[in-house]
Amino acid sequence: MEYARWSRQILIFENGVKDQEKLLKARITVVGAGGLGSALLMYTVAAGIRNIQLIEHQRVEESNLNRQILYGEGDINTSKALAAKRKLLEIDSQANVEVVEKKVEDSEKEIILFDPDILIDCSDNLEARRFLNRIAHIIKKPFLYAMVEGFSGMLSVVYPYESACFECAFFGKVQKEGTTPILGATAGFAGALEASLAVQIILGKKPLFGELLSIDLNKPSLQTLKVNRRKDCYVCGEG
Amino acid sequence: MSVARVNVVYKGNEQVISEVRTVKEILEKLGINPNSVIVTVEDELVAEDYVLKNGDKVKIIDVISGG
Repeated sequence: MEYARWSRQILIFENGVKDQEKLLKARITVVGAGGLGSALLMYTVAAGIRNIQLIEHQRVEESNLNRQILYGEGDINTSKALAAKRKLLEIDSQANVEVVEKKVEDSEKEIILFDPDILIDCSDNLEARRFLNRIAHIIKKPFLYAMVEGFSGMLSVVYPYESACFECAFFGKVQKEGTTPILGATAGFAGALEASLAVQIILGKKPLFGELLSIDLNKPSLQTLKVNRRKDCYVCGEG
Repeated sequence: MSVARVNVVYKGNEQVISEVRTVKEILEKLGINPNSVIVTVEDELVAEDYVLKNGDKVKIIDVISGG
């Protein structure tokens, strides 16, 4: 295989081409191709992660274009999943992008059959993350999630039954009603961070184990917060 | 359970709050819905029933959910 397109990143991998081959064989499920998903998908495909299941059921709207850089004006009112797939195949024509045009809550069977190495949340709501957290504990695969608003973001990785899960941190929390204000760069920054974390996880590392990364692009600053497992957690606890 | 005097940061504003025993009491004093925020003490996520000590550095962070 020709590795020229990944030659710059192979230089930083501990095991060089062998690590690149891990990326090429990896399978990821990505939920959401919006602001987070745009950056995450483009950077993961560019890095050589070629086997992608994309769950997204919405259509492109004009108000998406400040942050959802997978799309242009010509994509308005078309399927996000199919427009995203077209763009990703422009980046790497050998990528395998399996599109699931359903709500994530209706995609349990598809996710389990796809058998991803990582579940990646790029959704826009807490309920989707709760669902993915439960699925991650069923298939026992890492769950990478991110949330953004305004100039702020939060990211973490759940290693099922090893580190704090989504509910250990966010049980009972509710999201604000109404339209979420967001600078495109905030979503792009967090999505790019997710892509970097996904690469590290595929290469055998465990970034953000028991940690929640808090992003403030106003200052700007990054802060790592410790999150402990809850014994009484209804997903990962002792019951 | 004795009362504590703690430093609280919320929405970029820092203030000293006295006569509180738990995180829940801080949120009540500030009129914040506990389901809309997460709270850290010394950079560690804590529950509402966390018992405070004098001088604790408390940060209240709005829950965000967008993507």
